[in-house]
Amino acid sequence: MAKPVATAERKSTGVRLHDRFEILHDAPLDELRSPTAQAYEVKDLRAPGTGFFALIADPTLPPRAQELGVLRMMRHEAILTPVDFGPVYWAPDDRRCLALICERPAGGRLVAGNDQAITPWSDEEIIRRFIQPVFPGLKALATENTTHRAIRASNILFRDASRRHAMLGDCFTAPTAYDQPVAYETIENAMAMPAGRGVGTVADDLYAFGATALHLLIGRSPGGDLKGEALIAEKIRRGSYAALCGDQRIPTILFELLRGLLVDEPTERWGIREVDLWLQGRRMTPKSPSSLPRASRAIQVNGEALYTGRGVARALVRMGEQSIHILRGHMLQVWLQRTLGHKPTSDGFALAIADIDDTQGPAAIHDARLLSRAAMALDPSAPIRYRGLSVFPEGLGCALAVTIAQHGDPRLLAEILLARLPQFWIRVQPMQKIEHPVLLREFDRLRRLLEDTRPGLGIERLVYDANPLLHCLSPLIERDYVDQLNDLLPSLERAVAGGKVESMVIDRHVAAFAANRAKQLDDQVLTALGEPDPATRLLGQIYLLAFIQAQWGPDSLPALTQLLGKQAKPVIERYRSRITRARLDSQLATVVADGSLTRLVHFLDDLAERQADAQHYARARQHYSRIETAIEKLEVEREQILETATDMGGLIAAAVSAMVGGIAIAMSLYHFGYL
Amino acid sequence: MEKRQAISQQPGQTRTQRPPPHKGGGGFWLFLLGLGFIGLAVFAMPTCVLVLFGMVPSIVAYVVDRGRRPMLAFTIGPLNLAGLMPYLLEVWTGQAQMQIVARLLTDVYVWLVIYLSAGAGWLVFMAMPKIVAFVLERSVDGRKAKLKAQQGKLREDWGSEVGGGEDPI
Repeated sequence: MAKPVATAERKSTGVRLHDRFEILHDAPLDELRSPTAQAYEVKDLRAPGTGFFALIADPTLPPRAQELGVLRMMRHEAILTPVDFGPVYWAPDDRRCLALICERPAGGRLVAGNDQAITPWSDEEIIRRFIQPVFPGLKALATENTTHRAIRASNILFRDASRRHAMLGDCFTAPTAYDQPVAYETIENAMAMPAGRGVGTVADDLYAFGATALHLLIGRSPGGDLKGEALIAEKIRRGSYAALCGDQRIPTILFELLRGLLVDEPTERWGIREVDLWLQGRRMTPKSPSSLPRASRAIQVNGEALYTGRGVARALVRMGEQSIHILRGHMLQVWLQRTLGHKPTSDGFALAIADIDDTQGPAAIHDARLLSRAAMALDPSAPIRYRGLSVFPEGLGCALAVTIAQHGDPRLLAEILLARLPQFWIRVQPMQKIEHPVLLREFDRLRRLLEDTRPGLGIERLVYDANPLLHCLSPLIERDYVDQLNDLLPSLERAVAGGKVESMVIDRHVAAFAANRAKQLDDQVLTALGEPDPATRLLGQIYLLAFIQAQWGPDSLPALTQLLGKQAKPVIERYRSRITRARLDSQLATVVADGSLTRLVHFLDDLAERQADAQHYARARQHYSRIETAIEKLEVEREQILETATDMGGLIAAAVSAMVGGIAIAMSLYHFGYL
Repeated sequence: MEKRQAISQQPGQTRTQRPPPHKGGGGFWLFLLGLGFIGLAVFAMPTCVLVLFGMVPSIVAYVVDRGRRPMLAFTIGPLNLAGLMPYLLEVWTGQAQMQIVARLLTDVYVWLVIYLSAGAGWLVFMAMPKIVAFVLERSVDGRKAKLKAQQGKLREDWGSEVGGGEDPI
């Protein structure tokens, strides 16, 4: 991603991106806006007159990182591609947002919304204006092994003013297929929640391509008045082609194409090669779509007579917790084995039930896990359905990001990972793919990550790992749209200077964001951030910020350094020596004034000094202990003073007496002349 | 203070007991003393009489002091003898020794001098242990104060935890 050097110019009506593009926020382009991004006029300061426009992405949705990179390199005329992107200060929202600069399509958008009716196109128009211009773009995407996943009538733009050549609009400002209506999504994808549809495949794009062609043909959204669940049920009941076409007569020339593209079974759906051959004039008869395994006798679930595993799975999921007694009973298992007679389904169901002894957690969660596994076994190609959520394993990361960014509760999504439901989904897939072992390992890793509750790991880290372009969602700096590490410290500095932070600068989001972006970050720093000891926690913060400052700058962070320096008392008190503490206290202000976190961390946590302090402290303790022993000995000595004094006193008294007596006797002798 | 009591009251710890009072060979010495007196009585009767009466405090102290070492007698004895010595010399230098002895023994001032000198010995014996105890107490106090000062310096440098108190780290 390009380095964002966006400059806010409040006086002008625009904001600059990378000193080249000026986005005019008072010049919206309603005909180019997408459901998740507003469109605005752009001035190219290097080449005035060039036609560009800007999409300002919804900051609560993670952009598609991989697709952005591919599209930028590819720059195909059939697909709207960004020429530049980066965060800018967006005055109308008083925050920073991701701005994407694209070449402006001259013909505008086909329809503002999917429900907007248009004059039906003729079959020739559909081929000439839509299929022929757009299909090369899909081919190019397939060659790059990426997907568009936003092919629908409301996302068709025209690259020319005469609107003769259609192109596909924005597919990168929102998660994959986030805005796709049910009509344009395969049955399985339609079952998934918008943020949890996963990257998908070219086959999904071709299905949407067929549905869009059908929209153009009939002049309204395929499926008629049916929406949402009703349309999914209709697709399941009649097949997508029949459900979407309804009673509409399809011209012969398009019949084969639509029939081939709207096949529900992905392996039987027309691929790039078939569409290419069809465009070259080779006419093929689509295979008659194979239907799901169907039982000869229905099973009654919640009053419904059901013949397929998919139908049973949907009924059980609708019933929710009430379905547990059916799962625990034998009726369903017997029906699967004897009546449906589809071994993979009955084997998968047996596998789901085999984990029935897994009684971890509350009963409600355990039942929900069981129901989810059973639904996966009965309908392996459907998304994971768990307690009202419906998400494909590949869409879990994105769904988590959207949930957290929109202040939702991510616990249910986390439970899916903790319950190893993605791994079970992969295990029950009828066709094992080459990427499945890799995915299994990845989901095991994500589960371990989730279980690790240290700051920098856990659910927040998972979100940033799964969404490489997601900006930091910390409440402190979310509005600054920090999507690169070199923006992190300036943003935190502003937050501290603005008085938003009183103590801890690094919350779980900042830690996870930094750990995700700085791969070489020492794991011990993250461990320190989660320690209960305030000194260790503070040191962890300073180490992490110092590491980022050393690698990505800026050189001086006065407010941050000041804030952390103010809290350094517990760190200084890790030194035992009061002399050292006093010295550090007196020098702290000088160090903090530098604004260098690297210097601060070296000042507060000098390894050699800490070792010396520990050694001297150990010696001092020994010395103190020896003195204590000596004092105890003195007390014992004091106890014995009376006895000693009696003994010694007697001896001394005798000696004194002998000496005095001797002198007196000598004096007497002298007096009498004997001496 | 409680610690001192605890130390002194530790079970199983026996204080050094004074040996039971006895005077090893006391009979022998008494016999020798008696023999000396008999000899003295035979060859120097006046001296013997004067010594017998003059040294009564020392003899009493020896009899009363039942310690292993009769320090009371050893303390009183020399001073008692010193008080008696001028009168002994007066007897030895005089001609009519028994009359001198009789005069001396009837002179209250002689008794006063002899017994005061013995009393001085008693006072020395009584006072000396207390003086020694006082000196030893001061010595212990001085050494303890020095050690406490060292501990205080250590606490000042390293905090109270250096003495095994609650470690805040």
